[in-house]
Amino acid sequence: MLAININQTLGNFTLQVDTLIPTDGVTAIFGPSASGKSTLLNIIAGFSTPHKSLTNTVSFNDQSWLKNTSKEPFNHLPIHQRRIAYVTQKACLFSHLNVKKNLQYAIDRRLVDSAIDFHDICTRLKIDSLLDKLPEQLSGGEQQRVVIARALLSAPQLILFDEPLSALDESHREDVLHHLEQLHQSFGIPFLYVTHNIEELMRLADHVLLLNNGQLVANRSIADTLSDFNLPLSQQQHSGVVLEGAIDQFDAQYQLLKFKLGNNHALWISDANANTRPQHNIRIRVYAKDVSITLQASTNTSILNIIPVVISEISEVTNGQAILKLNCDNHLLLSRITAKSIQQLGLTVGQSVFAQIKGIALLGAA
Amino acid sequence: MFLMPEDITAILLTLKLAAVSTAILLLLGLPLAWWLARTSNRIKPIIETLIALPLILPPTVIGFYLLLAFSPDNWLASYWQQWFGTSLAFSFSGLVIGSVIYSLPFVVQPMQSSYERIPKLTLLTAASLGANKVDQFFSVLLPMTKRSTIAAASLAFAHTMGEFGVVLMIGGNIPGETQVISMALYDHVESLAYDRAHILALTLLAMSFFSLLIIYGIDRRGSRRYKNSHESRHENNHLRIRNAGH
Repeated sequence: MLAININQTLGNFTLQVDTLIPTDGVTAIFGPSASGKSTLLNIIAGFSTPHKSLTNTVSFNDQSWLKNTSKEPFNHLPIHQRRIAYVTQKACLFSHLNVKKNLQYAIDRRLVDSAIDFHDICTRLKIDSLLDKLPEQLSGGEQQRVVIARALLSAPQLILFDEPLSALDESHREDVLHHLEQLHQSFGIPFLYVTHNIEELMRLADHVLLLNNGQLVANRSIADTLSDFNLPLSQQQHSGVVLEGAIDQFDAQYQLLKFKLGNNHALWISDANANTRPQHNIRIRVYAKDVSITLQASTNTSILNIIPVVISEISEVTNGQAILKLNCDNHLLLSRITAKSIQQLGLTVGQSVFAQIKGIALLGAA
Repeated sequence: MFLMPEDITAILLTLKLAAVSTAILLLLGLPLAWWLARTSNRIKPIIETLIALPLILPPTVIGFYLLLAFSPDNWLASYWQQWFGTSLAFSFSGLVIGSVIYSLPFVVQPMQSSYERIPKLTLLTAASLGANKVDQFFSVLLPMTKRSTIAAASLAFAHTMGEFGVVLMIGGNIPGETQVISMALYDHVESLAYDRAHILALTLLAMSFFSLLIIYGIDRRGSRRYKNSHESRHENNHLRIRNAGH
């Protein structure tokens, strides 16, 4: 557990977050710009020190990183003893060292023995061919892959990401995001990932700290955060859910994956690379706009995925539309339909209906 | 025209003084420059002013105060006498102290600007990867400012070779101990030995020329090799401005 009680004031802005952050998987710190995400991350890293008159504590699995309370004097574990790695939007490679020496820099300063292997990391991040180059000779995406490799090779107990993709163009962003997805949970190193991008949130996060104007709005699992009607994410244009589960089988003829949904149901997902896919566990995304409701399971339709669900919640109507929360064997789906449809079909909470799912995106390894 | 043994002694002494002073200037000046580049301490402007003073004060003023400080009834000088058994006034050690003070701004000022140009995040990254402050200095700061450091050292070396006023006040013109080229030259002119003065003047001119050539040579090579690197380009521009100023 990463236990934080952070209080910081900068002009009119007040950051106040007192919470526990799980130290497995990816915890995203999500919120609009100027909500205090980076400030929070910098204080956790020790890159900035909050004002000494304010109460602040940060401790990682019982190791105190920052302690400043009215009872105890200011105490601060130096950054170089924290075993963290930090990845920012501006790739911060040492310009006087080539790629190999940048990576070696991290290995030489490990505080603990680690099985994380140089060649394994280089292969995973596809930087084998870049080792002799200087940072200035690399593209933005390549630089960021090297930074991530260096972070992993330092064998940290936590990696902090501060919008690592925001300075990259579209193709490089997709490339680096893809690598982050693959690494996600590979080494048992927790990630703390600052972003304001919903796509990155859906693809990477297991857990979410929602910040707004310096205040903690929610600290929940990704599934809860996306589907809770009281939180802003369920109400926005691209609202949807992410589901994680096992691949049950692969239909080679139609290039379809069978994704198990609970014990009794399954979703078919189109995937051209499915037969070579190494992961058994995958993460998928279903947008609310791609889920429609029907009272009977229709058979004469092109839609493959029609599953029985129970309506567990209906949101307030805005702009003539409402969101339904649907439950299928304890898996949640969202559906955005018009208020008119709700009335015509007579939909109510607790009703058993069928969800027709038009599109499912395969996000990556879970 | 040949160099007389006394003149060779003066040249060797000048080189020794410049070398020892430059070494001490780097040991003292680089950490001081780093501290100044990073601190927001209230006494920072005072330290910066003190370091810059030799740039505008006549060297004789510095020499005069050093002479007072080196007099045996001064507590500092008497401690020195106790520890080392020699007097500071009219000694090589005294000359080194004078040179270091006199040339300090030529090391601290350019290096401070150089360090201020290194992004804070670069050092924080090094820290997060496990480098303590000393490690950060040697593994990141020093190599990243290598060319500035060599240039600052060359400048300090050249500047020390050319000093006269401070030496005049505290040196005493003792051959082999405190008689540097500029002093010997002065002596030759006083005694109308223009031939010997010519050789010494030419020697000092050549030595200073080559010291400065190192600085501008580094600068040029640097700008060519690091054409595309923002950071390095900054380092070069900054050197050019500084060197032009002196």
